[in-house]
Amino acid sequence: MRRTMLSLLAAVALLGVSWLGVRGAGPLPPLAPLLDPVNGAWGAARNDLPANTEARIPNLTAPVDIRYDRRGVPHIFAATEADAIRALGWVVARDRLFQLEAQTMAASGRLTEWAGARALPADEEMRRLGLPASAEANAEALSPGGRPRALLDAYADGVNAWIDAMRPADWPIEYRLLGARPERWSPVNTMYLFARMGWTLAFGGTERAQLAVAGLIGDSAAAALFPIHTPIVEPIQPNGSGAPRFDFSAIPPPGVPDTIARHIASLLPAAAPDDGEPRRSFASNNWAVSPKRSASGRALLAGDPHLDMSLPSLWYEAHLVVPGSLDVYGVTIPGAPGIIIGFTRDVAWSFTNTGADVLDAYVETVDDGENPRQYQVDGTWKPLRVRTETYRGKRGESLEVDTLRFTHRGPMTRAKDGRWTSIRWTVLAPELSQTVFLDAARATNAREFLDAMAKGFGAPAQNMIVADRSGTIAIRSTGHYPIRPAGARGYALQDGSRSANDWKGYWPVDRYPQAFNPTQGFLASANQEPLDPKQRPEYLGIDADFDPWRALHINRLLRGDSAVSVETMRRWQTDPGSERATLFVPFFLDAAKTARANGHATPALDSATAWLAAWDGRYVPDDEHAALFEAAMRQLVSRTWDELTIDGGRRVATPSTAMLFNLLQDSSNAWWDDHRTSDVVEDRDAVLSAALVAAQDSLVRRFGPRSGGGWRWRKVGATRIMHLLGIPAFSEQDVAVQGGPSTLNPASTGGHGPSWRMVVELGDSVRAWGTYPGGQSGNPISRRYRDRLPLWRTGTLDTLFAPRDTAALTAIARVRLMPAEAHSR
Amino acid sequence: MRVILAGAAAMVVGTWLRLPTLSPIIVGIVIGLGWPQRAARRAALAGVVAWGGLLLAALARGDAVGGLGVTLGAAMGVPGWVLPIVTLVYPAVLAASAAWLAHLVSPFRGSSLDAGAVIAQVSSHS
Repeated sequence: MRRTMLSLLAAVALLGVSWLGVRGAGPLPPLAPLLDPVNGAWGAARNDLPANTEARIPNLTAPVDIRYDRRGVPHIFAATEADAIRALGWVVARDRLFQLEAQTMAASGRLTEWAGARALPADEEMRRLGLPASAEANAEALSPGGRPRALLDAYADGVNAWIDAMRPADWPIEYRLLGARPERWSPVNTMYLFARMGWTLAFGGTERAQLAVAGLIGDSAAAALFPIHTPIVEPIQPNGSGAPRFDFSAIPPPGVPDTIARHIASLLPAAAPDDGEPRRSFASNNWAVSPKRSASGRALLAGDPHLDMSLPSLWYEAHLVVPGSLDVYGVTIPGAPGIIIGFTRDVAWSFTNTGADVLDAYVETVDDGENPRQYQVDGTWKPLRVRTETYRGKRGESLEVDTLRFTHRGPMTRAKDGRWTSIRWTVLAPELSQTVFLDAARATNAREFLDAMAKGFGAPAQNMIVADRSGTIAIRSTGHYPIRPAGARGYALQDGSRSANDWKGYWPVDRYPQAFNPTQGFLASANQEPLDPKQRPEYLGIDADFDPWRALHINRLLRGDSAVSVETMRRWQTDPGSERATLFVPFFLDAAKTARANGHATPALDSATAWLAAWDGRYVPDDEHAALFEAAMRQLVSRTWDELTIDGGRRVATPSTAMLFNLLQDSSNAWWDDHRTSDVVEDRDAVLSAALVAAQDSLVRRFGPRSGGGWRWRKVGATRIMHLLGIPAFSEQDVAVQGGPSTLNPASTGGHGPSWRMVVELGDSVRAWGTYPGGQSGNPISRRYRDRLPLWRTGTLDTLFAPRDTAALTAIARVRLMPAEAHSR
Repeated sequence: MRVILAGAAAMVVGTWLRLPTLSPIIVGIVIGLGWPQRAARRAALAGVVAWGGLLLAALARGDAVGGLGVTLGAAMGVPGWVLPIVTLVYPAVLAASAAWLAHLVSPFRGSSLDAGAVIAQVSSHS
C-alpha cells in the first residue's frame, strides 16, 4: 500500500514538476529556463562587462573599437558612420535588450503577446491612433539605397548580431519572468519608437478638454478658462521686456451647458485622464548663457528633459567617433540610430517639449455607418484605406480582430453615437528623417545645428536650445506647425466633408519661435508659451498646454546672476524655489488674516496658517511645510473648479494654475462659490481658508501629526522610479528629492522628472557634466543598473569624458567588433 | 557515493547541453534501473550536487548569485533564500521521482547485485 502511494506520488511529482519546468502555470513562468544554473536566469548574475572580447557584425566595413569607461559608457571608434551605428545597435542591445523590445511591443500595440488580454486597451489605443500603421508606411517609404534606410539597417545589424550570438544565459531576466524569448530587431522598430515618442509628447487633449468643459459651463466660460494665450507671459522667444508680464482677464461665471459641445467631446479620442493639478508631467528645462554673462567667458548650456522615469532609464549614454566626420557624445534612446541630446567639439544642445497643438479632429461623412467604405469630401466619395489589426495572445492565438479605416487625413474612429471622426496629426506623417540627429551632430555652429534640425525634424515639435564654441546661444521651437484655414480654430472639431478645412501646409522655418544671441545674454525654455501674444498672437496651442512657473523661476535666476558658472548651472537644476509658491502663499495667508478680522478664525485655521507662514518656500527634503502648501493647492483646485466635475466628482478638465492665479485677482468672482454648499455663497478668501484647513486635516489623516516627522518633504514628496514591468524589486521607490511641483526639479510628482541632466561649457575645448536616474545596464542584478541614482537624487553630475581617440581613454572593458565575413574566412 | 557523483556529472553535462528538465529525469531513470537500492535518495542527491555545484562555481567565478537570488526572489514575492533552494530542489525532485518509478521495473530489484557490480564483474573478466 505504502509502495503504491509512493509510486503514485512519484508519478505526480514527475509529471507536475516537468510540466512546471517546461510550461509554467498561471503567472508562474516555465521553471526550467528560470532555474537552470547554466543557461537560465542565474546567468544574469554574471559580471556584465568582460575586460576584453571580440564580436562579429555582418556588413561591418572595418573593425570597430569600443572602449567602456569607468561609468560604463561605450566610446565607439568606427571607420564609417554606418559602422558606428552598427556598433551603437550592438552596445545598446547588449545592455538594454529587454527595453528595446518592450518599447517596440508597446509602440506597435503588441503588449498582449506578453501580457494577454489585459493589455488590450493599451494596444488598441496605439493601433487605433494609427501609430504602428504610420510607422510601417514611413519605413516602407524609405528608398532602399538611401542613407536613412541604410542607417536603420545598420542599427538592426548591430542589434541582431548581439541577439544571434547571445547564449540563453545572456537573455535578460525579464524574458524568463514573462516566459518570452527575444525577437530579432527589424528596422521598422525604430519608426515605432519615434511614433511612440510623438504620442508621449504631442498627443494633446486640447479639443476634448475645451469641448467637455463647454458642455458643462458653456462656450464663453470655457474659452475664458482655457484661453489661447497664457495670462503669465515670459516667452521662449524673448520679448525684450526683461520681466514677466501678467495679462489678467475677467473670467465670466459658469454659463448654460452646451449640450452639443458635450456630445462632440465624446466623439474625440481621449487623452490621458485628467489627474488634477499640477497638470503637466512631461515638462523639461533648458537654458543657455552667453559668454558675456558667464564666469568663464564661455557659452554655457544646461538641459534636463522631464519624461517618464523608469528602470532601466529611457536614456543610454554613448560616444560615437568617426575620425574626420563625426564626434558626438550624449544620450540616445534605445532604438534610435544616433545621439538625441548631447554635444560635439563645436555645439551642445538640449530639447524641451513645445506642447503645441498639432492634432486636429474632423467629423467625417461616410457611406455606411456600420461598415464604411467611402467618405465624402466636397461632394465626392473617396475610398477609405482599410487595415486589419489582429491582437494576439501569449501563445499566438487571436484575441481580437479590428478593422482600421483611414481617410487622407489619418485614422478614423467611431463614437458611441455612431458618428465617425478622423484625426490629422503631425506625428503620423513621415516628417522625421532618421539622419537628422547625425546631420545636426556635424554642425560647426549653432545656426548650422538648428538648420539641420529644421530640415529633418517634424514632430513632436521641440524647443531646441543650442550653444556653440564661438559663444553663440540660440533657440528655435522646431517642428511642423499646421497652417490652418483662415478662421479655423485648432482646438475645435472640423467638418471633414470640406477640403477647405484641411491643413494648408506647415509654417515656414522663419516663422518658428526663435532667438539668436539675444541682448539679455541668456535663453530659457521650460514649456512656457513660445511667443509673446502681444507681439505674435499666432495660435500654437492653448494656455493649458503651457506652463509658466519654471520659466519664471529660471529666468529670474538667470537675470540675477551676471557671472554664471558651471556649478551654478548644475545647482539651479535642482533649485528648490518655486514661483508658484511665491505667488500663491500670500493669498492663503491674507485669506486667514481676513477670516481673523471677520471673526471666522478657528484654532485649526490659525495652526495651518502659522505652519504655512513659517515656510521659506523651498522644497528641500527636510522641509515639513511644503506638504501643507501642496495639499492646500489640491484642495483649492478641487473647490474652485467644482463646476467642472461630473459622475462622482471626476473633473473633465482642469484649467491651468496660471488661470487659477488669474482668478485669485478677483475675490468675489462667481467661480469661488462652492456649488456643493447651497446655503452659503463663498468668496475667494473663504475658499482659500477652507482649503488650508482641509489640507491640514488630510495630511494628519494620511501622514499623522506634523510633530511625528511624517510631513517631511523627503517622505511626502518622494518619487518612484519603476521598472518597465512595474516589478517593485527591480524598481527604486521612495526616492527623496529636492524640488516639488512647478520647481525646476519637479521629480516629486510621481514617476516623471528630469530623465537626463547635462551642463556643457563650450570654448576652445568642451567640458560637460551629466547624469540620469538609473544606470547603463538594463540587468537589475548589475551594479550598473541604478548606480547613478545617488548622484541624480542629490543633483550632482558626473564629468562626461569624450576622448578624441582610444589612447586618451583608460577603459575598464574593451570590445572589438569585426566584420562577420572576416571571421568566416 | 560514486553513483551520486557520476549522476551529478551527467546532469551537469545535460544542463550544459540545454536539457535542464530531461537530464535529471534520465539520470534518475538510470539510477533507478541500475542501482535500485536507495535509488530515489541517490538521484535526489545527484541533482542537488549537480546544480548546487554549478551555483557554487558561479559564486567562485564572482557572479552575483546572492544578489540575484534576493532580487529575483523579491520580484517573485518570495524571500531571497527561496530561489537557490528551489534551484536545488527542482532537479532533485525530477531525478528522485524518476528513479523511484524506474526502480520498480529494475532487473536488479530484490537482488544484492546492481549495475555497478555487474560492470565491475564484466570488466574483471575482460
